[in-house]
Amino acid sequence: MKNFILFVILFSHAVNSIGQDRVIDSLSNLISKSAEDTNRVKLLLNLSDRTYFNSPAISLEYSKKAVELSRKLGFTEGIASALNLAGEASRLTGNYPQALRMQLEALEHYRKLKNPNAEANSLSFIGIIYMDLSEYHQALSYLLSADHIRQNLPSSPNRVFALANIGISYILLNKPDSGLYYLRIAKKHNSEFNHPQLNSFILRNIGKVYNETGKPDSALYYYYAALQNSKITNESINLGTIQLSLAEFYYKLRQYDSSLFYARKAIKESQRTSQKSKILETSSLLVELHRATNNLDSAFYYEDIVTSLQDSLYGKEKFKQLQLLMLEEQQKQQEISREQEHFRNKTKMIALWSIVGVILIIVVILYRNNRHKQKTNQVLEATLSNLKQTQAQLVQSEKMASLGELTAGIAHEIQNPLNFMNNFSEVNKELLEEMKEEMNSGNNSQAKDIADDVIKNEEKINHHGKRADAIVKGMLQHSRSSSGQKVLTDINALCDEYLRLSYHGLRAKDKSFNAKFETGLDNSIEKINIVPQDIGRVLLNLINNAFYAVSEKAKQNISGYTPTVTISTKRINGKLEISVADNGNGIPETVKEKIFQPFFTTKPTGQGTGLGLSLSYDIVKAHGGEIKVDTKEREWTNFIILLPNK
Amino acid sequence: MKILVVDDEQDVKILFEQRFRKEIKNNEIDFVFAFSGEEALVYLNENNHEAVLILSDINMPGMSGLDLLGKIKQKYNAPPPRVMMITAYGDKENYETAMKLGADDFLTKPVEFSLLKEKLKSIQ
Repeated sequence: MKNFILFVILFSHAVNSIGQDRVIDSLSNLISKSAEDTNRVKLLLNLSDRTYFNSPAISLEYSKKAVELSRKLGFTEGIASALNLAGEASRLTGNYPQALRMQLEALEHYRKLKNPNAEANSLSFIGIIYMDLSEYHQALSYLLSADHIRQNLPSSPNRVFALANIGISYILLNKPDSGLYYLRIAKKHNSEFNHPQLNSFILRNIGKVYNETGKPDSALYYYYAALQNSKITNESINLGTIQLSLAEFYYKLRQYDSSLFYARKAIKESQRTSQKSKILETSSLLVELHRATNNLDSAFYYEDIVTSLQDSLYGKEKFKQLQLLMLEEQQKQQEISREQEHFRNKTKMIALWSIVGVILIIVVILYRNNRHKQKTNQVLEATLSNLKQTQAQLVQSEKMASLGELTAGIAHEIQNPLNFMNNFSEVNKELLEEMKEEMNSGNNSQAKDIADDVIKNEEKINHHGKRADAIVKGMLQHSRSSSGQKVLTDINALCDEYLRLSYHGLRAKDKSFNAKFETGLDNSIEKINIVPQDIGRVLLNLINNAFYAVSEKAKQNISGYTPTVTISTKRINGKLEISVADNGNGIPETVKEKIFQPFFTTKPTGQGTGLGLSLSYDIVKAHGGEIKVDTKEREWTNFIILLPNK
Repeated sequence: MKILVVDDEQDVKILFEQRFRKEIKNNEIDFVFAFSGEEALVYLNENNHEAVLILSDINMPGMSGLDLLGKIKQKYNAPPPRVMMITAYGDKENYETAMKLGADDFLTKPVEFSLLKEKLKSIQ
């Protein structure tokens, strides 16, 4: 469809006119048979094109039909092409307003179709109309803008035609040099196509330049060359014009016979093609010729023709129509530029809004991400505080669990001193009564002996009272949350206390349990600065573990096995070492790595929190000390705490 | 009458000596003290059949009172010395184990010394 637009238009079928009539006949035949479709439009355009050079009026009829049919089919390319042809035919037959209107419409269509080649064609046709109207500046602006578009397109006969017309416009604006320059360019471009009609056109106009620049010989040479050329193609339009040029040439030389000869031929051709402007021009020359030869009747006859044609071609009415059209076109152009401006502004606005939109989207995404992060952070913080709470609760429950284990031991440990206190106070009561009797009997030395016993017993009561007091205090300290306050503490006493508590606690819980415990405490150790309840918990935990280990091994009924737990203290390199050793089953290498991890336990589910050693590790570390384990599988385990000796 | 008292609490010695000072003064009862099951066995080995009565605590580190009871009744069976168990845990399980092992009596702490004295008198 694309190819169709350009090649149907003008000059495309005029190369060879031999057999032209036969082609036209067969085309007419085809049209009468064809359906009302785009194919028929093509046939009509073809026919209009082929008849253009000989009878523009017929060409106009075909192209008008093509316009009509294309409009009916909504076939825009067809409308534009047909308007080009019809506009050209209208120009030739002297209907300039119609020609201009048609070409302007065609131009509009092509601009919308974004077909630069066809747009350039329409522009040059408009230029040519202005030439006919002697508006050469206007004509040049259209023709030059057409050529500007074509510079980037492959050359075409249409461009050649426009280039030649640029040349002619310059000639008519009295710029023969520029005119010749463009005509020669046109000639050069035409050598590519060797289009005979265009050739005649260019040759005649070169001749005209020479004629007007006072080179009659050269002018005549080109005129005859053009004449020869147009005879080959057997077409009327160029032939008539060349004949008129020759007639004018001879008139200028006052060779009236020759002039009249060509003028008569020219008017015949012009009449045949109904070219009003040519008839007018030729008639004007004939008026002059007949006047010069005193043939006044004929002069009057042609003068009448001139008057009526001038009126019909350039009359007031036509002039008005043209003025209106031109004004309209000017307004349209302004509107187009306004629209372009508007479009540019709109594009700018759209671009601006797009950027704003993109930025907004980014902002929204960033905002959402941020919000999401904040939410996640909130959740994480909540989870963290939950975890901390749970951890604190676990630590507390671990503490309470070990306290529970201790309760029985504590009861036993308190019961023993209380028994002693009760017994000794009862004994003292008896002793004091005896003492009274002895004193009454006057046995003073006996009484003194008894008093010594009473004092000794009172010391025992006091000792056991303190012992019970210490146990209760220790229990309270154990259950209380750590104050974190470091106090000077007798580490040996602490070890002894917790060893007993642990032992009796386990005994109370499991009647079958029994184990030997030994202490190897270095009495030269001075008090050290620790948080007693915290270190106490570490010791309790390690001792409990040790008793658990030996009782597990005792269940295996190994002969000669004495379950033994030993707690000892000593000073090493300015540090205090506490060792809790057992002769249990030891710790396998695979388990050894994990024992200080929170929640790790080898005890059956529900029996251990798995926090004991982990907490012990933390406590010792907080004291600036270290805790380590030495073990031999199936033989023994030794937990060693190293504390700074301060 | 020689009585061996076995308890890991050292102050038991002073307490018994005070409580039974009249009996000791009158040479009615002779007390010997051991502070662990192991120590008691050593004494029994060295002073065969000297002790007529053994008063033993059950809850002691190392060899418990029940272990000691079992060993005494196994080893010294012709005739075995009387063994009286004293414990802070007067529960059924301890009591039954002690009886099964051949304990002659079972007392719970705190010891009622008047009751203990009567029991000793009946043995004499």
